[in-house]
Amino acid sequence: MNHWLFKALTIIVLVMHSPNADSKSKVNSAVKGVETSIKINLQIPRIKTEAYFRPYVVVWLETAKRQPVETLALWYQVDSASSQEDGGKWLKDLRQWWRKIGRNEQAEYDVVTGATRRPGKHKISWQSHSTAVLAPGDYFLNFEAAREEAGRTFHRLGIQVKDTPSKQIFKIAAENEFGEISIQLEN
Amino acid sequence: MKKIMTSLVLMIVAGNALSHGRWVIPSHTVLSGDKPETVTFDFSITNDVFHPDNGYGGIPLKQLEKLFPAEKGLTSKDFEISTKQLWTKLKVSKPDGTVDTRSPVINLGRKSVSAYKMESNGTYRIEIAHKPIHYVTYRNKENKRSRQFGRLTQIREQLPKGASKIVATKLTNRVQTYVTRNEVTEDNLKPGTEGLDIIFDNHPNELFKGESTVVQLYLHGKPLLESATIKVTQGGTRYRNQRNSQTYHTNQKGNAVIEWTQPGLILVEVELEKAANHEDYTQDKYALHVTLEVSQE
Repeated sequence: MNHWLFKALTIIVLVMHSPNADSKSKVNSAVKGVETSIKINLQIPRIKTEAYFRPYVVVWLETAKRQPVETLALWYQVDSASSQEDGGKWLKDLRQWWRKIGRNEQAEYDVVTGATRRPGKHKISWQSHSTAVLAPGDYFLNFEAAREEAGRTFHRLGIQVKDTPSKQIFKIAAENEFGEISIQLEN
Repeated sequence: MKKIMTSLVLMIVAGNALSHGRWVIPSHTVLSGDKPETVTFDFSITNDVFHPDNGYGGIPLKQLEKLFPAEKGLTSKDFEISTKQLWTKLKVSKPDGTVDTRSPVINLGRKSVSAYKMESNGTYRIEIAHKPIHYVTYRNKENKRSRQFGRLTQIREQLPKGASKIVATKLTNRVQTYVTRNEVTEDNLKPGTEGLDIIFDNHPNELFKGESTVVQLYLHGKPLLESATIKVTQGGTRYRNQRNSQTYHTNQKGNAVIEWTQPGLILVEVELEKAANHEDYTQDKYALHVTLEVSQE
């Protein structure tokens, strides 16, 4: 199954049903929304330890009422055909994301899933029109990282999608499993 | 002498079976991945929350002779641990709606243990199931409180002359927890048709510190339309001077809002007494002991 195609089909269905869109649907297309882009520079710190495993990382957007909107990026040990390992076994350690969104919406985030990243700077780019527009209002942008034999770090950033064009910059200071994170929100 | 010993043993057993504290500890409540996962369950009758004290039924270890290597000189005599009369089962309600009670339960004296391999995705309800316990409490001539095990019809004649305030209780315990492998399902969160149930407005496997849950009590599958008390205790009572249980009173519709103030394993308990018109007992007592895991945000 081509996940991108699947996603595109989902959007068409969502738009078609927009007047009665399910309240749990990702984006309320019935409300006049604005195209939004989120650009993230995210650092994974270099940590000197005997047994270093790259962290599992996830970034996701949720409404002010903490309903899931979309997973922007998920990096974990994706199973390879040759590997006997089940990397999904530890997805539950991304505790908040797994409980709130991961375990129930597998098809939704396949498209943003990738392998774990090495320490260093990484970019994540998300356009709201790739799914549908976002209604103006308050959202939470969440960052969660978990590393084997180590800790877990969770950041929740309150953001506001304004109803007029705007550009906002946010920074989150380095803490444990995350280096500094900068976010540019534009609509 | 032998008779005295027997009654002493019975009293110890009685004390254990009646003490209010009992619980189950799941090794995991949330699982992910493509492969089946095994979860272990410890359960114990104890007033220390999540520290075991007395076994809770099952096969006494001394019966598992094959486990003792003869060359090390171990025999079943080395494992003459006191075990209770309760025959408990691990009752697993699977996501597909079927119930599996085949897992063996081993009694290790301080606690009983079992395990279950979760083959399918969804939410499982795990219950420690056993028959109701019958006992009679009364006051003797000197107005001293006393208790005997058994149904009223069986022991009425053994009660001392002049016994008063006789209450015969049928105690039904429900000790349970929930485990979810991959996606959550709702079927095992619904009330059953018998006994006391607690239903959550959010999934009991996705609780976080700082959040709250509206609960609804059910009796025999119907909302309990009266006030009842819910006691919520954080694990680790052994290391606190006060138990610090939070007490909630449900409203007349059987609702209450529970606040999850700390991460960890948490014991939610409810007790309910109902007058009964039965030759064997004068009241039904229902006790619910639910273990939940609250995550750090």
